[in-house]
Amino acid sequence: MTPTAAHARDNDPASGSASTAQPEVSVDGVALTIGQNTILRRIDLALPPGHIQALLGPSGCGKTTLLRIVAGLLTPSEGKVRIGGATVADASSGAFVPPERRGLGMVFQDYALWPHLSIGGNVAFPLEMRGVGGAERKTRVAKALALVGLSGFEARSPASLSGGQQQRVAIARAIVAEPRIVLFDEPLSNLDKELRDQLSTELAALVRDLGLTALYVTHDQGEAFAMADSVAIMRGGQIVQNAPPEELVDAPADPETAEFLNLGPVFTAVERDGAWRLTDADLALEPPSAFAGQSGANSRKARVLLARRALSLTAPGTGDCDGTVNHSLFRGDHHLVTVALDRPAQAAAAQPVATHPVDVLVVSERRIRTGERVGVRVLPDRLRWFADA
Amino acid sequence: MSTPGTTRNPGPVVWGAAAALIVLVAIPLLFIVLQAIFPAIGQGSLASPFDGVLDVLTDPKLVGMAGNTLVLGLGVVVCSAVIAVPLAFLRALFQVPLARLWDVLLLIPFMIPPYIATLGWIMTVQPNGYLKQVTGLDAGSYLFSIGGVIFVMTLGVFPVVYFAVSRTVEAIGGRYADVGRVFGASPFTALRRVTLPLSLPGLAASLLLVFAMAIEEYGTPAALGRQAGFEVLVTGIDTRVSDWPIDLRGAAVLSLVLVMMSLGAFMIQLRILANRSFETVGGKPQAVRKRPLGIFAIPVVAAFAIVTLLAVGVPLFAIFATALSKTLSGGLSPDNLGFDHFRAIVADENGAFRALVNSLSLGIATAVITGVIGAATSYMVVRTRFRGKGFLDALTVMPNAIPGVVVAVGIILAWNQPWLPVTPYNTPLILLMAYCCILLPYPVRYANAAFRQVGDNLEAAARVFGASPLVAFRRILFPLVLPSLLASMLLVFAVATRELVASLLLAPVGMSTISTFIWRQFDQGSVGLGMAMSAVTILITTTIPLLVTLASGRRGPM
Amino acid sequence: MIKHLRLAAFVIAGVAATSAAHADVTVYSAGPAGLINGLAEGFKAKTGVQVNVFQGTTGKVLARIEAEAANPQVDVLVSASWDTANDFTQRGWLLPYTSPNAATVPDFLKSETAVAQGVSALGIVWNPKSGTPKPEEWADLTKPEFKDLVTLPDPAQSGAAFELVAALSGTAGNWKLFEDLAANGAIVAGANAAALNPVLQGAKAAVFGAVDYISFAGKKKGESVEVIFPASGTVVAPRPVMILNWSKNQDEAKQFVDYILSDEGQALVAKAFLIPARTDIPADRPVIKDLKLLEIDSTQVYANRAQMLEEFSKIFSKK
Repeated sequence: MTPTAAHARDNDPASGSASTAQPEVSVDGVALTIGQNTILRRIDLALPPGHIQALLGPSGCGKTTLLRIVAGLLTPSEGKVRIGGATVADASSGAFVPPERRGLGMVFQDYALWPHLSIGGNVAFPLEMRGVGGAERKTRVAKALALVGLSGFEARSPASLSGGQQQRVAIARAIVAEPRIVLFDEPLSNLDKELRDQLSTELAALVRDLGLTALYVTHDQGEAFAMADSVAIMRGGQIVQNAPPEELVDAPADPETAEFLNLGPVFTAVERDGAWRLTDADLALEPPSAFAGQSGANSRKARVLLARRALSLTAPGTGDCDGTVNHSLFRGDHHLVTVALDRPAQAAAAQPVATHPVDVLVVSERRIRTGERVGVRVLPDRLRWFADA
Repeated sequence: MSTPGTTRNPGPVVWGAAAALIVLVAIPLLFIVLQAIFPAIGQGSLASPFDGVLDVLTDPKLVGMAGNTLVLGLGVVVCSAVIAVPLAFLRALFQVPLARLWDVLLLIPFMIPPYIATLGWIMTVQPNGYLKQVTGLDAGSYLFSIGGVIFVMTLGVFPVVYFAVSRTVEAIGGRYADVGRVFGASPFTALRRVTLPLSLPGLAASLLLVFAMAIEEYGTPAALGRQAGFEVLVTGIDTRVSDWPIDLRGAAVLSLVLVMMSLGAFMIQLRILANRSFETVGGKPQAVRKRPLGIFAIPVVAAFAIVTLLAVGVPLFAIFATALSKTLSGGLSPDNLGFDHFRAIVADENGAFRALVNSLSLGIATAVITGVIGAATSYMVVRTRFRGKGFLDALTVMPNAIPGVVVAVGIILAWNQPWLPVTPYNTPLILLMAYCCILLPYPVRYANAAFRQVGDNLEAAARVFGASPLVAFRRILFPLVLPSLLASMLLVFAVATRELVASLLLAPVGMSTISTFIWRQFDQGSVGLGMAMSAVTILITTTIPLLVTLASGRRGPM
Repeated sequence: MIKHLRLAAFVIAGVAATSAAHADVTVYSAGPAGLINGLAEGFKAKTGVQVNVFQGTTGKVLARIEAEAANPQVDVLVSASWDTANDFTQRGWLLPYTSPNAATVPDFLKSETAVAQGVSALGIVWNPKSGTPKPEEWADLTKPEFKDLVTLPDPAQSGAAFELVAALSGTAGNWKLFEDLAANGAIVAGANAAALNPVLQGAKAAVFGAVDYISFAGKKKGESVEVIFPASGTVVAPRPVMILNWSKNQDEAKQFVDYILSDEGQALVAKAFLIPARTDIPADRPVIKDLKLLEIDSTQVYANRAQMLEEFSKIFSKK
């Protein structure tokens, strides 16, 4: 057995505190440029042991590329990757540890099961490569298959399984050699929703039970939130925000992130005579202290996220603003109501056409008919303000 | 996603393949080029370079020969596609009755040496030939024409296309076509817009191979075309090599013209495939389901039967009829039939048995060596990126365009240099090298198409799970391309066993092969003995692949 | 795979072992394989010297010698065309040698540097089952009875056929006979065997100017075929034996030439239905004194070879 990066780390005494622990995976200033194309720019990440890190972003944002760099399937053009404290890729020195000596597990989007090997052969492969003997291999393969609920499937061919079953095999293969780190490349995106929800729950439990450190690439925020300790939002080859899911919801770093996470609509607010109002709706807002106290500067603009969790319905005239219900959607345990807020009186006169309707989403306990008038109440401390650039 | 910044550096597989290509292909080729430039290279002199090259190139006959070569090559390509593509699609997508049988039968044309097949056709359709003797029909002398040459050659080579396309389409499995139909395409449109484009790599590779085989083949145009005044480059080259005074440089120059043609076809193939991804063996393995033919079963079987009869039945009948006839002039009467010629082979008359053993050993060795080199080369071409890989890729296609006789001359020039301390020349090893050089394109083309269809992640997964590049190649990629590779190795075995043109010139003193033996019998008028030897060879070279197919069939298709 | 590699190693080892046996005399020979193999065996039995043979058409043999020129391998060459002897003499590639056994070889079949092994003659080869009248003369094949039933060996591929064409067309360039043949549907069929084959099968009735020994051998095996030498005359093709001056085994090479011309060697030549070079050796076929030979001026004829072949192929591609 060759000493791998993953095992070199075994010498470190396990440390209780995440801040002092050696990061299991660290990515320092990694960038990738091919010809004129910048795919990744200055990525920094550090995963403490047992940490599940999601990389979330739209397609083309560079998340899979980053994962492949960690796997050793690509080399960075700048920066450094360390696994278990050992440098596995360093663009400045040219140091490079090939994927097979990084001691990783990985699950691919297209499963990448080898069609010419049986299920057992697929799952046993990583053990075989580590020189594990035949008898032990057999018990460990059986154990891994049992973990994913496919006991006794050893002799079958991958082609005879359904997509969900194939991905379970791929997961068994990724964990069978008990790697410290497992990489997931959109593992569930090829499955239908029901299966995806079920598998993501199972997968999260499995990863936590095994104490794995995981890097999990996905474009599905539900999956990321369900799985991860922290979620890195990627856009245009950069990490724009890396935080625990709750923090992302509370405080998205910028309007784009807020929209990407589907937290609610973002509108422009303008300051007039020391008070902030939405430009396109008859709604006065109380800014946080950072935006207040600088009055006099008329026509300052900012953007504000009217998140669902910041709004509630009330009777017309009793809230901060009135509006008309556009439609209402029953979501099983609540109704999601779209309300078009009333326009500001003076703006409607001056610019009748140019104003954009301000549609906000509000959660309601009761069914509300389309066209009904309602009042909307705003919880100021749950608003999220963005300084306009 | 996976290509930028890739880590696939040229590993040991690549270096091994490159070295083998250089020894087997580049060196003989270099000497052909040298011969084209320096007329006296054979005497070890570099005197008067380019002397008279212009005379060869401005010979008015050259235009005619080059044009004829092109007509022949394109004619055979078109006819092969017309016959093979429909059969291949039917075989791959539907439950064709007796499918395994047709596969086996359509392998047989590979086992019939082209010069024998041509002779078989001549003896069948010429006045008083077997066709007249059996059915009373008279086919006239249409065979001795351009059309006749294309006809006979097509029947010999179309299985290349059939097997390549049916394998590719089978891999696609009708799955993508189903998707197309869901989106509103009629079955025919789905075929044209989805399945056909996806099977392009296999189709393009095999058509290129057919083109190269057609413009390089000597026996058929020589036997059928010359009488009609249909001269192609290969016959022109042969005239220069066998007509005193021997004009090796003229032959070399004409060969280079031929190589250019083949490279042209190669470039066109590259353009067709450029910027397309044809991964059809993704990481999601799927079982292949074939559809029943319904009432079309009968016409489909009839089509297979007619094609098989023409490609296999006619030549085999002529070969066996001649082999079993005591005398040619005696015709097909019962008292003229007997096993005398076969007895002569068993009795090792004129070294027949020895020749058989020689050729079979060489055939097996050639198949194994070209298979290994082919897989490695193709891996290098399809799966790695490094400078000079385009050149090496081109090297693998060139032998296909160089007539066997010129390869032989190049090899003699290269390996018979007096300053070489050891040389394979004048040992059986030189024949092995020549066969490997000539036949390397087959495994490379087949494996290229196969590698193109294996998803990137299958290799990436192996690497992540601890396999070194070499292990990933051996355990994952090689087994995945093995079915294709094996098919091409069987082809190589069959062709190497009967290779004639290079063997005639290169055979080490005192050694004969099956083909030189047969050819000698023909040359000395013993057609029956020659045909008996052909029959034995065809039986052997058909049986071996059959056994291999059966053995591999038991393990499952992949 | 490992099994295959082992097999390959085995094959290569076997192949290398065969090659280890070193040739004492290397002979490149055109013509009947049976004959040269018989001569090699007989010589080995008599002298113990191993003869290694490369056998091919004259063209292939000469091409190999040409390609090997940097490092020649051949000691003794047997060609099917006397022209080879003339050409190699001019190039100074031949070792002058007169075998003591050549005393009864007629002068026109030997020179300082070459001696004939045997001689073949050209004739009409006719299939008696073809339903045509037996031809006696070259011109008989232009008659309507032979319409579309005659083949000719290609003079570009057969030296002897070329000499026949030269002899019959004459130096004045009288092509009438060949124009008539072409008009009568005769075809040029390639090398000798390709011309003979359709006659044996009955597709054609006669070959105009076939090398005789192949047909004699066929007749012996029971083929329905007759060889006719027209009284007006024909040509013969002596098969020269030459020793190359680069030979490192000149003594053995000379011994081999002596053996070819010995009683035993010449008997083998006669058995292959060639005319033995020595006039005192009996043969079961017409020999030189039975034939009328047409005279040709070989120097002039060979100087005009390309031109004559051009003319010839023009006549036969007209139809």
